[in-house]
Amino acid sequence: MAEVTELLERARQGDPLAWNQVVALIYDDLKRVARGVLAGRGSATFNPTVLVHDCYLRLARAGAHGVQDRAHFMALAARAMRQLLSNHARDRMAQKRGAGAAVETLSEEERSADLEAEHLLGISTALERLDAIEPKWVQVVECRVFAGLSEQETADALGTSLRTVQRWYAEARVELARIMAPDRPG
Amino acid sequence: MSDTPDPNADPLGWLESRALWQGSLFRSLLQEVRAGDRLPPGTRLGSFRIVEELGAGGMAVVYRAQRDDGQFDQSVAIKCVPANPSTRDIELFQRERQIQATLNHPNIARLLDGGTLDGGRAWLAMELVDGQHIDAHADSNQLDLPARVRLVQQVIAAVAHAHQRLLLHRDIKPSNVLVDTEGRVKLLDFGIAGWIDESAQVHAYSPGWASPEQSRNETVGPASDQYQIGLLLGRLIDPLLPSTGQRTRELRAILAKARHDDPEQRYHSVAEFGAELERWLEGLPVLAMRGGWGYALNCAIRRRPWLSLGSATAALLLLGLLIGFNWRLQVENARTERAAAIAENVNRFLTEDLLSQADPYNTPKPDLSVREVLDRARAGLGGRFVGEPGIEAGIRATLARSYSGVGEYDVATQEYERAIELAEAIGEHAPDELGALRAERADMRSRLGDVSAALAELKLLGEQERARAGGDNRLQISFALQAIEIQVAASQTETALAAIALLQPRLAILAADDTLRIELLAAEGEAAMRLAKFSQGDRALQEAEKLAGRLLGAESPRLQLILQNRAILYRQMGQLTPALELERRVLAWQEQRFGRQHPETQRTLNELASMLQDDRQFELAEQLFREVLAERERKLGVGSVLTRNSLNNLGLVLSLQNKLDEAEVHYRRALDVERELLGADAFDVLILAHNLAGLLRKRGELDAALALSRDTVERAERTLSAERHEPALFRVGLAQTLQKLGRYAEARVEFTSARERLAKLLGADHARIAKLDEMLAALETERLAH
Repeated sequence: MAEVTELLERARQGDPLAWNQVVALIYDDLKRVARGVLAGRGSATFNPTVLVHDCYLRLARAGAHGVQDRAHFMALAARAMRQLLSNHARDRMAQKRGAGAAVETLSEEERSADLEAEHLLGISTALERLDAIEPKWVQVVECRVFAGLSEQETADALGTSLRTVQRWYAEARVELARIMAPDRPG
Repeated sequence: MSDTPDPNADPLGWLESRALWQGSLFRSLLQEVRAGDRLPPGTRLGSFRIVEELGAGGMAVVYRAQRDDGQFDQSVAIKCVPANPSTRDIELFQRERQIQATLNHPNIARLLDGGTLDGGRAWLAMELVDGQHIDAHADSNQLDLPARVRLVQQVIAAVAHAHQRLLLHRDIKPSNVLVDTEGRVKLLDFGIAGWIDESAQVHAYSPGWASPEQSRNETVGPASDQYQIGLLLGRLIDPLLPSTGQRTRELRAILAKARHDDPEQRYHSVAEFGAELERWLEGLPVLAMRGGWGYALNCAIRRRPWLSLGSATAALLLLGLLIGFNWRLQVENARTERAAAIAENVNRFLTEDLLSQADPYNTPKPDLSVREVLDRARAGLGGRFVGEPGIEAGIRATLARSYSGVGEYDVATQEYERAIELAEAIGEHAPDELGALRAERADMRSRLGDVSAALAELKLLGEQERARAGGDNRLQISFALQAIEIQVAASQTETALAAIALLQPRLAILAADDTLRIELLAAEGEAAMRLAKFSQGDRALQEAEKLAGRLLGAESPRLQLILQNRAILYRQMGQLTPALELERRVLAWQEQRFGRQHPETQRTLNELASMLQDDRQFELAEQLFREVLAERERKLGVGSVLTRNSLNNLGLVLSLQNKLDEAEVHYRRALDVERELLGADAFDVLILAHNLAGLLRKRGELDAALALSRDTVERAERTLSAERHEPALFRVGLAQTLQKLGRYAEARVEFTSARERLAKLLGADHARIAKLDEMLAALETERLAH
């Protein structure tokens, strides 16, 4: 078994070391695009699809190959993206709580980042509850939203049909909203 | 974000919206991610260690690093490729490395080293420039206009260097141009530079500093860099530029050309842009003003007569004469369009065919002599102006004056003939211009040796003009002035003074501010000075000075020439204090205009030193003579007549201080060079030999002194005309040596012979005769004592 294939397989099965390596891969690619996006150069709109595809190309050069490797990687990458964003949101909120009175002096940009972090953390918590109900729903959301995959790519990544992906995604939308509804007790 | 769904009501909708990837949270994540990309202080790259981060450019982070190999202390700037670079990052970085390796120029930050980190990240070590941005530097040092232009010249030098290597900078702006503590410009950041011929160009540029073609995303060439330098120059000089004046108009024209919207209309190259600025700094005509009315005239006046176009004296005369030409056309004919067209054509011919070739910054052959330039222009004239006799006449007249200026009187005469012929045929020229041409043709005769023919012709011209005009007019006075100048030059000084006196009552017809008055006063001053009529000369020159100051300005070159003559006059009167003061005024003016090293300034320094020597301020004189000698030896070589003159001067001032050993060294050196170059009979050689003989006598080497003196007297008698007084001086030297040898009778014979000749040439009441009588008396006393 090729090294990369093995790495992806181990990550899928929950090996924390392998998982961290996948996150590191994505992290490196974020670094790569960070300069461009922050400088507002080129098309300033960030597109996660391009990032995960570029990332897979590097992995392919390192030995990944075949439909299955690709599918596994896409699903993992989507989860890694979600984790990176949620962790950053958590760090921000933690910092904010520690910052105390300094909150007053925050810039517009900082304030909206904090607000977004709050929203994302709320959704992330809801996704964890959703995962307890139906993990497939969460996987579809991760692929579609955090990796920017198309419905077909999501179907390929999750080893299911296009129709199923569409159904799961619609169900996830309803269920997630239900979980988040303010009249429901948290 | 009003279109963003409520995250609580529609969480998936919120995730799908722009909020996730275009929001502040994601940017904040990217910033955190990026911070991890930095090299922490202490990181080692090759023989360098990171000290701190200096800033992040578009492509890479720049750090200050310190050499850490114990070799020597050196701060450098390190540019490091980001971790996990994109293909484009790597390409850009490799390109920058390649570009920096191509460049080697004092005004471009140097590439010092390069390497790769463990993770494969490439880095470059560059010269770290300790300095300010160019605009901040100019302001904090309160640089004046020329100094700011010179700074930009350094930028141009750097960019021209890059262009020669087919490289464009593409991002010239103040933050990329530093000036170090020594005032040296350093051009930085070839980060988005590229090769001129490459098709895939980087379109990144800095807002506000883009050329029009960059803004339009078109292909950019060297002209784009030129545009950006133009913007930079504008930024530097705009706050200082006076609102009016010739110099301001020139700079504005230069700026407009460099910053033209159409790249085709800019200078052909940045080097040419630089040459143009250099011309501006030197006060030469600038191309951007070409065709402007009377423009060449202004420049010529501004520079006259201290030019540095190769042979300074010849060029001085050339330009001086061109002034006359332009001036006459302007004053007499400016009213008619036709005349204006002629003048403009002639001006263009002057600036393009003549001046531009003599221009040291704009010619493939910098040592092209004025004579060669003239020959080319003359040959190029050919049939170019067939059907335009008015223009051709103007150009021929200019050529004639120029040839006359370089001493080619035969060719000049031919050109005068031709110009007069053309002017007469078309009958278009103002009587003044035609009359001036005829008078100048007459003057050629005097230059070719026939003074009386020239004077007769001028007289005839005056009479003809009187008949034509039906009375006295300015042209007739100008003829008379020309005759007077010929007489002064031909040493018919008494006649000249008489003519000036005769002219006085006629001057009433001249306007009070006519510049002819200055010339007349100057001629009178010179003539009176030659006749030792010092008070008359002084009065005339003082009036000339006042009038020139009033009409031409206190800073005018014409005024400086008058001041110099006044200094000579005082020196001859033996009044050294005012002479020194005047000479110092001229010196200050020249130093400010041309700099200390300029040949004309050096000439004045030499003159000043001679006066100091007369004033027995030997040490100061010696110091100045040494300075001039060093400068001339460096610039002209030992063979130049000026250098030899300096050797002689230094020798003399040393011997006057009894530093005889040192003096002899300089004398002998000068004499050896001169004999070799000029032959033993040359006048300069005889003067030197005479001085050396005097030195030998002082040192008590009487036999050697006697031999040299005899030889000198013999050669002088054989080769110099009877009009010269120098053989008598040499004979005095011979007599003094004989006296020291105790050969009193022989000495007496020589003294007497010298006295006879001097009395005949200078008049019996000249100071030198009195001095000789004293010497004869002393000889008699000494003989009797023995």
